[in-house]
Amino acid sequence: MTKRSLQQRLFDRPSPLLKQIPSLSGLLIALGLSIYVLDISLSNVMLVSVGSGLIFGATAIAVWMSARQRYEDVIVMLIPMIDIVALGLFRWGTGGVNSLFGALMLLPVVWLATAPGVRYVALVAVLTSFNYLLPYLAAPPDTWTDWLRVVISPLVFAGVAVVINDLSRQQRRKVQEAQSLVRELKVALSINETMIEKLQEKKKEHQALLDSFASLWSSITAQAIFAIDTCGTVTAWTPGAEQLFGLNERQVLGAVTVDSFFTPTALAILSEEFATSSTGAVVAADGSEVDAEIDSSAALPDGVRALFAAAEAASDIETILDVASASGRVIPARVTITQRLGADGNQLGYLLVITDESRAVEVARMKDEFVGMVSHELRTPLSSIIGFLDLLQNDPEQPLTADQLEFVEVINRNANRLLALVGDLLFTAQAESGSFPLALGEFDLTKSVAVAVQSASPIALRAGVELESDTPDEPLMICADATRIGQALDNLLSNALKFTPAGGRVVVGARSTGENVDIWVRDTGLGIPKAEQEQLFTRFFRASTATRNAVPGIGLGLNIIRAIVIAHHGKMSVTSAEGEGTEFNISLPRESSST
Amino acid sequence: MAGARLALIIDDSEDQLDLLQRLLEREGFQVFAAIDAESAIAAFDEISPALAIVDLNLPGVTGAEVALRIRARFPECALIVSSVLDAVDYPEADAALPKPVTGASLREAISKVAV
Repeated sequence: MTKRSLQQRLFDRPSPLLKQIPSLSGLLIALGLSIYVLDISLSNVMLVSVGSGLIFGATAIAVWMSARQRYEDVIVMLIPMIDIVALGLFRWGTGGVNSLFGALMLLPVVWLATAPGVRYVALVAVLTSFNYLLPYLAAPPDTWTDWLRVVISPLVFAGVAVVINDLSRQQRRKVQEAQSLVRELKVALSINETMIEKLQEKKKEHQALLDSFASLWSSITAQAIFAIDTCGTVTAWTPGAEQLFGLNERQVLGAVTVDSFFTPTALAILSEEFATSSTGAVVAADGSEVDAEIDSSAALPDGVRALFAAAEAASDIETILDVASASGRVIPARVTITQRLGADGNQLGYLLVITDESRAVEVARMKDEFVGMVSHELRTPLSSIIGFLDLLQNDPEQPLTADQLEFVEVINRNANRLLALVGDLLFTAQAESGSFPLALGEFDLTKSVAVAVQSASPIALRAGVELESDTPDEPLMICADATRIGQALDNLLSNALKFTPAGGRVVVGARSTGENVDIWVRDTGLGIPKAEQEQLFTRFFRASTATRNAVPGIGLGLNIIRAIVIAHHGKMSVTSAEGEGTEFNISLPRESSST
Repeated sequence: MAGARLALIIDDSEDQLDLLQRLLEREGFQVFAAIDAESAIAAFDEISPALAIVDLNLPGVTGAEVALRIRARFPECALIVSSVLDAVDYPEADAALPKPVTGASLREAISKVAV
């Protein structure tokens, strides 16, 4: 490094002193030769002294300028000019035209010629001409040869100067070009460096994001969350999924399709539950895309494809399903599926969130089991009470007095009411666990309506409510559980009568609508506030209109009716306006398959 | 086989046994009452019932099991199942007698099996 910088200092940007050395050396050698070796007569000692003195003076300036580091100064350019004049004087002093040392002038000429600008070439011409003219100032040349000497030598010097000037100009340009190239490179390099710095910063940010995402992802242990592509193949897998399914990331990624996590029963339920939406989703404007979509998931079972279609149609789908772990364990789970879109809006696949509901299901089962057990235990003593009351009422050997009969009747009625409540409680417990049985048979629905109206008429009469039925004349045959349907009708009528003030009207009707049969019960009663209609079918829920108006009940009736309707694969709806009345509508398929 | 027809009743509730016994006696039956299936089976050699009323919820040997045994041992005997359970869950029998049992419901069940 120091070697290179020394070299650079000396030759790339030489100091005036260095440039002066050739002229000084030339002079010293010429002086030495003249005085000691060649015995050349110094024709004019004064001229030689002045020339030498000028050289020494110029050298002194060079030393001074070098010391002050002023290499480019105008004064510096004076040095070679002084040199040329000094060497001219020296030439004159050492024999003039015959001097050996005319060529020494070349040394400062070269220096002057390297300076930028043609004016220095002119200066060379002027100065050298002046030098050659000097010896003739006293005695002008008398021959053509001498005249030529005066003209040619300066011309040669000027020619050399032109060549050197041009060469050095070219050299300078090249250097400048190289330097500007170096500058550009430096700029580009610094831009690159900033770029790299930025990139590294971005990389750090990206890494931090990745780390945070990874820690987030790996902390999802309570739910099994995983992503699949449009073909159903697993593309991301959380530790929660590993726990639930007993398969690690390495085993599933790119290797397992989503259908293997569902039981065959669950797949069948899926294809049934989402069947309509799957046929709807295949209809699209672009035919080729639809084909591609069908192809990508063609290998999957209908249930999964139906689920995909439903997720695309509704953005996310939640359902309760049985999932199967690697060991074959069946787990009741809440399954949420969401469509996964890329940044460009293209579909990447789906995200599944599976929550283990085993504990909730177990708790619900225990609760229903408890309710069932309590109901049975309550029924046994109630049966004895009712049985012995019957004995008391119907003992021909010991007939009761009229008062006693009345009292026994009151006890009997309340015992039966209690029994009915216990029965309802047991029924709803069975309905919640989906385990109540249906005894299917074909019967005429108009008759069931007639029976229900008949048994409710005494209550309607007491309440001062008009009770009507609206059924077709021909029989309405339906395959269902006659007892349960009767129970539903009784409950609906009893509700309608309870909620309709005196002077009101209750209509119960049935009609055929092709494959289904509609049953409706309409009243002009208190109505149900809009906000409460959602909760209406919840167990133990009571409408505010019921509690406000002290209508008796425990909130099981509608829950029971709905359970019966659902068990028959039917649908139930309600329309109501507060203060105007309520209409319950039940739609039952004519053929209910038993659950 | 002199005298009244014999009715075998099995129920783990003493009150229910008492009730059934009184109702059946009013209908002219002789009654063998057993508080559990085991004591009824133990008496199989000494009795020949024309009618059996079996409660399904029994400790030990269940009502359904003892009903099968009665069917095998006394093919002629009319079998009536009685329980607080839903009628749909009853095992195969000649008639069902859901609790609470009253005189009227018992008479109806007996008339069904035509003893």
